[in-house]
Amino acid sequence: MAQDDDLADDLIPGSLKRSKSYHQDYGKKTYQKIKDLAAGNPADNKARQMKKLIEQTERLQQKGKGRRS
Amino acid sequence: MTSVRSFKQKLSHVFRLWNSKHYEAALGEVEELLQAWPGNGQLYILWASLVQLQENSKHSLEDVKQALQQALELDKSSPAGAIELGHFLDGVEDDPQAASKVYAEAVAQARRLLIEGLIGQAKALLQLNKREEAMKCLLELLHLTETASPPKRPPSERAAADIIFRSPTGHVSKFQLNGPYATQIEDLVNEVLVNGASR
Repeated sequence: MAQDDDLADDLIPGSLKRSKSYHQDYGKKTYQKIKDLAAGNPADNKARQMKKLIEQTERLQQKGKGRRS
Repeated sequence: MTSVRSFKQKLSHVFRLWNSKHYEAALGEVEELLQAWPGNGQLYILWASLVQLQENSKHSLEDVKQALQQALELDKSSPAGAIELGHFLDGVEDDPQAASKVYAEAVAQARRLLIEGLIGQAKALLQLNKREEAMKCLLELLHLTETASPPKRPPSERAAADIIFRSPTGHVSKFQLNGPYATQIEDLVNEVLVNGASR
């Protein structure tokens, strides 16, 4: 599970860092900071995209749980 | 390595590796399975998911997208591939417009499967004299079919054909039978409500 004080770079795997939605200059921001920026008015577009990548990673990691067949 | 038993064993191993975050090893196992079962759409979904979790993958995100599209092609009756592609389009490509189209197809497919499942379940429950449980299936069916095939005629023309349910709390629900399942559902309504009441 992604923690709020985790850095975005530690949460997003290398594969997804190739996405156009990945922004290296936001890699050292915490997950909480990214969520705050994404929820801002106006929303920070880079943060919004980074948040989606983190959520995608977390969802895919969870897919391995509870499946045995 | 082509028996169903060995397939299941290997798939279990994939998920153990996945759960312990050994994504590279899990991907290797999926690639072996794909060699033996190249027509299995579910394996393409697993492959695409695991590639996204790799740190240093030799595969591109375009490969991931193609694998998900392949899964869709191979298993058109299942919504799983489309749902996964929807997540990819929105989450990775930040293309909610394309994602919403794919999700719409997936949801329609899933709804059809659920309707067929509920019709079958209601029929089986009726044979077991479990009328109340069959009624729950029927109510869910009516809501689902209404969402799947909304009435095209104005209320004045269809009022006589509506099915009306009044719950014990007084809540009234009205339904119009539409779409390809209308006849089967009508039979169930008769069985659950009309025949059931006369017993």
